[in-house]
Amino acid sequence: MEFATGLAVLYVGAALVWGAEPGRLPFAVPERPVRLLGVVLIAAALRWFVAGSGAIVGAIEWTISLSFVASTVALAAPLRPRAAVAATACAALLAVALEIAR
Amino acid sequence: MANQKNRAHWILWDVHAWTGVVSGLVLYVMFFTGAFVLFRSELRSWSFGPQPPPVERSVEETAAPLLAARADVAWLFELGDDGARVIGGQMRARGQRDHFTIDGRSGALVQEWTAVERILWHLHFLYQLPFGFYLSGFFGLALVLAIVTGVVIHWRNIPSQLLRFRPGRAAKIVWTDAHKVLGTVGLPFLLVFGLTGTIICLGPLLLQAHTAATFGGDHDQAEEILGFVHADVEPAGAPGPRLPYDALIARAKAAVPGLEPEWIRFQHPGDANEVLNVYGARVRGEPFGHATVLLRAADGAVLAANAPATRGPGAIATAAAFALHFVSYGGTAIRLVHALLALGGCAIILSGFAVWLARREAARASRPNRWLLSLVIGTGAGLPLGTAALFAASRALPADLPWRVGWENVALFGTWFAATLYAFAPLPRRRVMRDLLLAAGALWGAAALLDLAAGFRPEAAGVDLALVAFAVFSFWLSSRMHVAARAPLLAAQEG
Repeated sequence: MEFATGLAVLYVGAALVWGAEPGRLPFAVPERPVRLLGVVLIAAALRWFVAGSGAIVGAIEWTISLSFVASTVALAAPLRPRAAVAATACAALLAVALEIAR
Repeated sequence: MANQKNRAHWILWDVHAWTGVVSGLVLYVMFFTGAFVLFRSELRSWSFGPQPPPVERSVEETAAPLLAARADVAWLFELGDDGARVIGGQMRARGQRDHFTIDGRSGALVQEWTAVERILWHLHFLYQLPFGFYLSGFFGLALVLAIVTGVVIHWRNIPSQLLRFRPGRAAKIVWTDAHKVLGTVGLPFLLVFGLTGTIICLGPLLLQAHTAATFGGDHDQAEEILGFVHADVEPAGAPGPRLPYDALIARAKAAVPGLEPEWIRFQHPGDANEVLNVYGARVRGEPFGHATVLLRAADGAVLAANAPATRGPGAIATAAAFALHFVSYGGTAIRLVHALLALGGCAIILSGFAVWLARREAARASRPNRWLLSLVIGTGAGLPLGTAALFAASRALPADLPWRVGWENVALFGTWFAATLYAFAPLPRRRVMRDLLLAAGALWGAAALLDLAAGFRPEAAGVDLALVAFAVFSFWLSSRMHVAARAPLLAAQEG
């Protein structure tokens, strides 16, 4: 469950970093705060991976998962930016729900 | 100074491009099969189909009669149920290796009748080629070289282009963006797999080269430092008493708490000085935890062990390389992430070829470029088609068909070869790719349907789901061929 939460938080973080760039989303967002929030979420996601698998394995899982999530966001989000926003909201809700369930 | 920098940049670009072109298709094969290799046990459960519940039969009851009957071969028994019973194995004699399974009802040895996971495992390490294992190490090294040169030539642009993918732009830009995004964001994954693969496959060669210089020619000592343990026991030349194999396996588990025994091997079987080698790829609670325990069969004394608690730095590094490469430290979810990244690695290679060919659009009529394009299509679409044919053949061929595993090999390599020939046909490239993808989609779907038709099995549901996902993706990709036709990769051939 920690892995799923971490993955969802990573997804939200990566999507925010991607969406912070001007012109990528169908609406304007404050560039620096959104990017900063994204980076903070990406870093914070490490907590769930470490809690689930220990420091060494958790750090490896975080790194590899970041590769996966960032590639997915970078390649899929430009195709359907509105769907990417919806998916980010869903991932955020999922992360909260999983954390409450835990 | 600027000229020198420019020259260095282009030298690195050429090294990156040529390394990719020369090794790309083989690396594509290794990445594609690597995604499957991560799920070996799941594939094994899937390919053997519905099994009757096995009769309780200890390792001793299965192994001892076989060892006594064929003393002329080297036996290796694969264990199931945490080391409680024999599920299969291999016997080696005069360089020939035969694989077998154990009938769960009778306990009899049965010639292996399906080998989906083993065929893909062998292809991942290029075992089908002479010295293929070492060759795969050199290709791993080529991957590392391509990664390092790719990072250096794009170093200044990485921060600004890290997540930049512009699907609406010209095809050449789309391919370049995709190549850069997957290559840079996937860097940790690529680097870990390139390095660990190289260490695993070239390690034995490097060890031999270093044995004389560093260890005074003592090969055993060199291997021990890396965690490969030996028991230098001479045969007594006469039979003697020994403990039952189940008791010996229990002692190995006691010596290395958390050990999950995976296979056993024998040194001097039947002799008074018999040694049992117990190996497990996982040790519960240890991230990099494979272990080997060598026990004296007569009294169960531990002669040597490579276990997480007692490893030196060299053995820890070796264990970490294996664990990172086979993701034995993680559960299903992280293995799935790795598998998707491995398929992403395939996309990096194909997009790299697209970029390379696009840069040579001026020479698109040249024969080598046309051949290369056909080879890329033949392997890029042909290998998934061949793999789908392997899965479908595993379900469709009669269970008692003579030389059944051979036919499974024919299904994979024959279909792949036929697809490559088709890619050389004087037909529009987009039609060739669409046809190959449609055929692949149909075969992936057929494999899943044939398996489900034999009865739903929870342990096979994950593989069936993956087969359906491959089918849907293949059909979707084939429907996108009219869009992809805009790509320079295709335009180069369309003329």
